[in-house]
Amino acid sequence: MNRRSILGISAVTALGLTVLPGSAVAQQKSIKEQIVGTWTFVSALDVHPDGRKVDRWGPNPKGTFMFDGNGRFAQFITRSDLPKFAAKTVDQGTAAENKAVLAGFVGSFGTYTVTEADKTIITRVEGSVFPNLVGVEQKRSIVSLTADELKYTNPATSTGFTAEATWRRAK
Amino acid sequence: MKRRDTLATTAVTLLALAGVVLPAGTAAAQTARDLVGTWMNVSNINIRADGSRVDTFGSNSKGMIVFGNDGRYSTITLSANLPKFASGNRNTGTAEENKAIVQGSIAHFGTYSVADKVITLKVEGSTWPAWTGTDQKRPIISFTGDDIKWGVAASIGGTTEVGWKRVK
Repeated sequence: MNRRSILGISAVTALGLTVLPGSAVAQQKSIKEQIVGTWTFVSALDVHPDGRKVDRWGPNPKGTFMFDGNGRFAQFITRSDLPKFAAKTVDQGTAAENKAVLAGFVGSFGTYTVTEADKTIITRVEGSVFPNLVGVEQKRSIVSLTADELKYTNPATSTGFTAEATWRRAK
Repeated sequence: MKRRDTLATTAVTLLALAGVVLPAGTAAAQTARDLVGTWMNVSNINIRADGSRVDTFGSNSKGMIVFGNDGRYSTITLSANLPKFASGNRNTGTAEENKAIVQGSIAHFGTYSVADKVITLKVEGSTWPAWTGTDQKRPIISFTGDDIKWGVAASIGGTTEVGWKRVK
């Protein structure tokens, strides 16, 4: 065996040793480890009792769902057509403007835990622009989770429906 | 000692001195990395044109801002005692409920960057829609690693000084 072959084998062996444990770890990553970071909103459909699926976010919605490593979350979704207030300051909004903002925007923050066994994310809301959620635990059941995409169902949204939501890992 | 070693030693010494000379607590936030983490709101003082100072969200307000290590941020600040919607559905708030919440809160999210002691928030969505799609500048007034204060051209007019404490 010449020197080059030995080096080659050594290199392959070294790579093998390096890669194998890494991929094993990746496969065994907990759900919590997989969701930590920032996700951007793709879609959420309200599932009505009659089975209809309704997109209440309209065209080009925006959103972010952040999970930090310390167990804190922040979630936001907005329609892209919220009205800019005719007045210059936020305390001069009309009834219609105020209503449109709150119907077209969700924003909450608090803490979260993951139940690995039944693949649920449980959020506990500390603050929200929908104050009814404060102190409430929300369970989201993960439908699928990859490095780039998170899909879950939320059985009790702030508009009273089940929702199917899709998020994409922020790049 | 070779010249290169001498230079290296000098560089290390200079760095060490810099570390000693710059007290950790007073370094200005120079990069986005300095901000990464979750911060809780500790103050919102609106300064009116006449110099008067008003606590924008009142006592016991609650707020947070998250700066992700991926360049994204999100924030909400809320007055205490915002009304729960009697209907239980956020689409059907009364005019009074909607007004109290819109005026008693601010929430927005998007991406951020830091340069020349100014945080720039590129707002993707906001409960104050005038900010959506704009670059919001937040000049840093003070930064100590765990405490930060910046200025805002406020959505209620005037300038607001907003203070935050890092969540450990």
